[in-house]
Amino acid sequence: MRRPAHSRSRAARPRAQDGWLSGWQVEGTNTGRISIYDAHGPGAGSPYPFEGLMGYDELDLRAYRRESAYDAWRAEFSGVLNADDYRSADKGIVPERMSLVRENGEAAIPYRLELGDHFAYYSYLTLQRSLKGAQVEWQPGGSSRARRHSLVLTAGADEPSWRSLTPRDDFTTGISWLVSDVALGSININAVHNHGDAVASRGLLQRNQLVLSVAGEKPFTAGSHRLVFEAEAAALRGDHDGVIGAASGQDQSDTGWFAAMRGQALTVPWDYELRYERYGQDFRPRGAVVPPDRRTLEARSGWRFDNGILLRGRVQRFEDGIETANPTYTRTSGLTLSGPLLRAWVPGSSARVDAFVQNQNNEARTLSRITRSLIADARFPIGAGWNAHAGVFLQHRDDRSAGDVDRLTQQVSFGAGHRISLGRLTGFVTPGIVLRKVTLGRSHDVDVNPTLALRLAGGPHGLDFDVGSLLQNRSAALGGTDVGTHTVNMNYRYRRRAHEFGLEANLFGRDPDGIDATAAYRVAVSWTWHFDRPPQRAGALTLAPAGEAAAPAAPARAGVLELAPGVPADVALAVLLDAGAGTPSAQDEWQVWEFALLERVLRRQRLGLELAGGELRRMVLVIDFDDSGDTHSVRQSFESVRKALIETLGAPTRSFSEGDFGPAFAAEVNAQRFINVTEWDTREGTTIRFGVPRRLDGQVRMEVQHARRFASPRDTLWSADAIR
Amino acid sequence: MRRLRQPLATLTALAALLAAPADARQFRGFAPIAEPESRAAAMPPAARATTTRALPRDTVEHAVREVIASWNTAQMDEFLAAEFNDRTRLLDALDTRAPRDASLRVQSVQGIQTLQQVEVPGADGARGQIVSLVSATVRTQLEFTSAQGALVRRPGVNEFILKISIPAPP
Repeated sequence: MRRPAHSRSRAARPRAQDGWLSGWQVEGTNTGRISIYDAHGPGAGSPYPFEGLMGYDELDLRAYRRESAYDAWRAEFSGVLNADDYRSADKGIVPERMSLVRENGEAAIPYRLELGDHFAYYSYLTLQRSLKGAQVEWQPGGSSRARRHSLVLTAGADEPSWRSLTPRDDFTTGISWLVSDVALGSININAVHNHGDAVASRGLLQRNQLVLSVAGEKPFTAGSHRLVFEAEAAALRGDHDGVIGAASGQDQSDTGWFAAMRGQALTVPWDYELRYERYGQDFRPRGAVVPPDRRTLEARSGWRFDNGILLRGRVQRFEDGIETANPTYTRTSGLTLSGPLLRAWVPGSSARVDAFVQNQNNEARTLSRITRSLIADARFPIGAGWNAHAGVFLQHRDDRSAGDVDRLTQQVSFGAGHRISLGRLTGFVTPGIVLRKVTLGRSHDVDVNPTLALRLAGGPHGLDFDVGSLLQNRSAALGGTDVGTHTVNMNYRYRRRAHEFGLEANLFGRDPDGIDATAAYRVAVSWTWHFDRPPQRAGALTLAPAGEAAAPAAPARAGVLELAPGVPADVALAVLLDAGAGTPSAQDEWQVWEFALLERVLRRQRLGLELAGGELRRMVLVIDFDDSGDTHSVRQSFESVRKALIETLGAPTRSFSEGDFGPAFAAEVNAQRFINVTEWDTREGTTIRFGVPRRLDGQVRMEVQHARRFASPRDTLWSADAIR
Repeated sequence: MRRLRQPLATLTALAALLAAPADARQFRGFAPIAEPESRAAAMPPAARATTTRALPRDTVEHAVREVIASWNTAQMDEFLAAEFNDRTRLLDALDTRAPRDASLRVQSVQGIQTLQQVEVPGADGARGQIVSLVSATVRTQLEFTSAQGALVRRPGVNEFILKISIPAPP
């Protein structure tokens, strides 16, 4: 970067402090919504069980604070002021999620502390659930960085709401130790205790249980195969809700375990897995996700062909209720083919075919059936800009029980999508249809389901629209009733800077033959405010270049930082004169130089100073793209400038990114679908921003600006418009 | 710090907790805490520590609606993570037992929370991915027509755990 010879400047006036928010970055949304629900005709035929005028205001807040590069806080809050029967079961102020997290990698033992809502996960056999309480994790270091440790302590209640906390109904405490070794694999030891008070209304007795488990995973190589062996064994001692009545769950003990081997051949594209599970009838940990009283044996394998087609097979045997008098057995075998199955006939297509046979029966023979299924779907272009998808669903259920009611389902579906443009709006239109026949014994139902969907967006507007009918002909069924169901749904959004307005309408009509029809609707309007607040504590991460002493009363950085807001106009002009910037031209309130401030960036650069009241109000460096239609060139240009700035200014304080560099880059910028902003806070309380702002004249270029403060990155009109 | 919002997010729903996104195992993985360079170990090849930035509400809501719209369709297979417990059994049960005209309606998306987040570097210079594990409480209603032609409604409140990937900033 070219450095002006003269470096004296006056410090900018410090900002006013923001009290307890100092140092916190806060962002989020606030949404107010008013809805009206109404129905005419039998209420049982309406999808809306609650009717009337309703509303709520929903706040979603995220806050961050960084003590240092490795010590950070994070807070989340979501809640609602509710008068809407669908939004929440509670009315009034309803806090839904509250959490405070601190991660400190600079502590003697790095730790992660979570308060409030957190997700407690040890293993499938012990604990995997959301809790309200506290969890702390330590990751002690060691001389061997090939081995890492994690120790977690957890305490919390499983409660759906902060409003009605009754921790003693379901309170969990636990400890988990994980060792992960590069050579030896991982081992995990867990202990989880759960307490539940007696609940007379639900017939529950007081329950206390302790679950202990050891789990491990070991990767290894055997010949030309890479293998992973995983297993877990767990034991429960204590109480659960009961199998037959609450008393049957008191003072029990049982075990659960599984073992799995996954493998992949190294010389051919073949993978496989073998798995066995066994969970006792009384193995019912409150926080586990595995079902009790079951035994499972599964084998799977897959092969990927050179043409990209993937073949997968599975054989599964499930035994449920193995410790009851009437266990159920389910045996399933299946094959799946996926990938470019039709490419030889239809270039650009992809498809999937899944066929499986499921045999279910129980000891008492009250359940005995074989279900054979064939499910296929494909996506393919059909010319003239249309892309289609088609599906087939065939299923035969052979009922071999005393009831002997066989069922045959035959279904075909077809849909196609095409790009459309309506004025400045572009999007897709997608018509479709589903035809279905279900034969049950000697009767059958025929369903016809046409649909049409439209999705448009352009500038600040967005529109989703769909209409559909489901015509169910059941006249051939014994006691059957024909039903016609019709729906129209619309969702319109208008986005302007940080505000988004929405209008939704849903119409529903249901007309059963011979019965009164039901018509229902829902209309809702909403307003969402996206807000963010950068931290006001300046200079938290701004590092002075090596060798430069920072004078407390004045910015000591050379180059861009020298030209900071508040610098006297004559000083700023003298700086550029000394640097050889030449004679400026006046463009409105700006003085503009053709001046390559970033010497290593080989693109046209113009430097502008906005002068007012005898001092510098804002500095801007405009950098042109070579060709905004060349994606690679645009990305390269952007990243080279960003890199040059990082090398000069150090690590950025924050960045915001939305969208990506694409063939229609300029259009994306002007439609506010591409936003990319990087900012550095200075010790003097000013901010340097780099990005691609939106302009009213549609020009697309990079700008580096130095100002006292900036609006939200979503307020994309931050370009120095006067510099053309 | 990073603040991320990408409408073009890819979604894998109903995942187990992630440490390295490729894990398919049934117990927790190592979620590294960022440490100073002087003592930080080489991160796992698949992931490295990052400052977690919660995903915006509208990104999560969009993902939830996408998942629920796939319920009882062939597309649901694409949304269920490989490590989802009893994955094939759930899909088989939907194919064999759920009424073919059954659909799920989203009545409201309630509390959401970003649980974990890792950055997965791209291979061979390709752009990386920010992979977030998100919890969302959703009030839904299952709807289908009974054999007698009546509308059957089954409301429920469920917690969805979603794995959402968005491109990392350049």
